[in-house]
Amino acid sequence: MPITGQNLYTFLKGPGVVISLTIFFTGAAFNIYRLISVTKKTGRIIVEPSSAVYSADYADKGFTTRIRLMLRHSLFSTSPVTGIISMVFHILLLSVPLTLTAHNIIADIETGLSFITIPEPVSDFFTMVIILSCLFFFLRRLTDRTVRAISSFRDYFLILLVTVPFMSGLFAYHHIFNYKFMVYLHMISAETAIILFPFTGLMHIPFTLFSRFFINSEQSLVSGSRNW
Amino acid sequence: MNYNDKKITATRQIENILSSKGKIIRLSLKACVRCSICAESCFKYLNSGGDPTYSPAYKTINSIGLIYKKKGRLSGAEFEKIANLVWDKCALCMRCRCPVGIDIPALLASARSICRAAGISGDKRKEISD
Repeated sequence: MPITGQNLYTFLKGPGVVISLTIFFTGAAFNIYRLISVTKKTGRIIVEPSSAVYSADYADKGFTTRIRLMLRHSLFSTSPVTGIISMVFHILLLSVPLTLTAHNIIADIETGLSFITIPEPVSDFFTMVIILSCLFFFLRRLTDRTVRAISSFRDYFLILLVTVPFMSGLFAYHHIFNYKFMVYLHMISAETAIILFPFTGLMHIPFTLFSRFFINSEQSLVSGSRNW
Repeated sequence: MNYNDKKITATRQIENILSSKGKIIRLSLKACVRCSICAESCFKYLNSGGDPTYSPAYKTINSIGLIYKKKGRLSGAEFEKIANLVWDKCALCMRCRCPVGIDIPALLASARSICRAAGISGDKRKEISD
């Protein structure tokens, strides 16, 4: 069968999504298995902060004190701009594709299932926030000498991998440049990013969730029951 | 023990360390997004005036990262550079914090263990500098 535009579109909209999500979930599950296999159960141990000033409050307050101390010693106090942009970026990265009207219409037609949607001007604004955040990370990597010293091709590639789907989606929606080209670029780049997720530095996402909720350390959000 | 026997013993020790800690080293290096936020928590980095070679990420990637990549087969000069990073530029105070949750002190400690197995010790470096 010759590869026509319609065939490619049908493939990317249907089997392409299934293949990319299958590889994504399989890879993610394998990564989670590997994370569990390099840790061991230690039982729930309360990790007390080293400062005696806080130790008396800590025993009574628990979760809120832990959050307060974590914020004080975290990125939000040392580099608040980077911290806030990073937090907003990660929240929107997950929520915008899931709540986009266009994605939910396709999902509803194909599977009968859909998620909640947000108004299109709002998702437009959020998409631009994501693109600007990616630009911030790229410029930070180029201009900050400490970050530049440890950056390589893979780090710039990751930023590109995340930016292209959002940028092409925004251009396609607003019919900027050639519509068909932008739609294909959007679908191919997004599915590529989903496939590559478990095999690239994007796996810092399950790693972070695992270390925050399961590993016992000063940086964990709850008293974890495992250790490296 | 002659020189060749010492070299074989050292290679075996390095291989043992890499095989026992290889999984966590590999996962940690992969999860590292090179954000350099750990640098803000390192007092040596802050006191150096922001010298990138003092940042925990730089030290980790260029010590245990290099050892893991080359499977422990490095030259004496490469081991000396790594020793400079993990002993001269790191106090192993365990103050370094990673937003992703990577255990940076453990990785640097592994690098020190491997350097010791290769015959380079922090104590000897101190004697030389004294």
